[in-house]
Amino acid sequence: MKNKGFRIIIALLCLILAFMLTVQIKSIRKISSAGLDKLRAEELQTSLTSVKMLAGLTPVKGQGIIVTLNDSTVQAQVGNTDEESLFGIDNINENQFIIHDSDILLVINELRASGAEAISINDQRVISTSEVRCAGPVLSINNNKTAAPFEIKAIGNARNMENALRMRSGIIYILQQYGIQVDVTKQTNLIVPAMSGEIFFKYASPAEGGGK
Amino acid sequence: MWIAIVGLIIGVGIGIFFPYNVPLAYSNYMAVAILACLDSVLGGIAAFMQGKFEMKVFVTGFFGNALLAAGLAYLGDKLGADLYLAAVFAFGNRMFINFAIIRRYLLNKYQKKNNIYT
Repeated sequence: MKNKGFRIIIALLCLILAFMLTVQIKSIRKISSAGLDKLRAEELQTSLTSVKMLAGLTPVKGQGIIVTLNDSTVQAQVGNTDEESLFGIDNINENQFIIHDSDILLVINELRASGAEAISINDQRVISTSEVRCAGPVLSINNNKTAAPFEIKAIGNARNMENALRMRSGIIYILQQYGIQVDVTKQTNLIVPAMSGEIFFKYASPAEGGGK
Repeated sequence: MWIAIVGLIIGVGIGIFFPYNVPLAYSNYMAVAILACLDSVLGGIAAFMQGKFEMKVFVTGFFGNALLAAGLAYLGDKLGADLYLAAVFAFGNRMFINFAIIRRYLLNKYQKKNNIYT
């Protein structure tokens, strides 16, 4: 060999060749032993499981927080025309002491803004088409009626989510002004259930372009 | 000579512990590329035996043939014709020819040795 450089190049090329050979033989062995169809099926299955999880169709676990909202227990004094009542909350309007859909939606929004990945309200999973709506004295979620107290479970960075809720002049602060009882506990292994109903699209269908 | 074998062994070692596999779609291209590389190596050895070895030719042949072979296989897939077979026949043929050259020189070398002593 002419010089050291030549020998290194030869060694390098032999290395590349041997490496390619080994990886190729490994891959072919896996393909022929498992069968092409089985491998494709496995790949699809993994993809499907992951997509189902993102859509909210599977139960998920992880660290997170549980936010419990309960109606206010502040005593209302109906028809009180006392001078003192003028400086406090308007006691005549009973509506302000109960939890509304807008309150829950604001909480959910803050949770999502701080990175919540899965949310459930009284064990009803909130997915992309879930509604949270007042229906008389109860709340309707995924067409299920549920009443206070509301237990909102959210999986994500527990510290971030709690801090976002407890922000100064944030949602908890506002709710507590009306006496709504709010309780937040952090959990390390929270389980959020899957969406329990059926979903099918009547009007939407796959469109061309954009995304996978 | 020995450094080549060391390179081979290290390459096999890395290949065994490499966590990724060749994706199904590309395994055909990899196969013809390996064939081209093997042919290059044999061609290099044959050239060395004849004293005609040139490093530039060897390296460009190694990578160039591999890319060309994989490219031909890819083109064949797109056109719907088994063009990779051209690479298989071409490289297979050259491997046998080079092997014959190496064999001839090795046999001559040992024959010469015998001539000196007897």
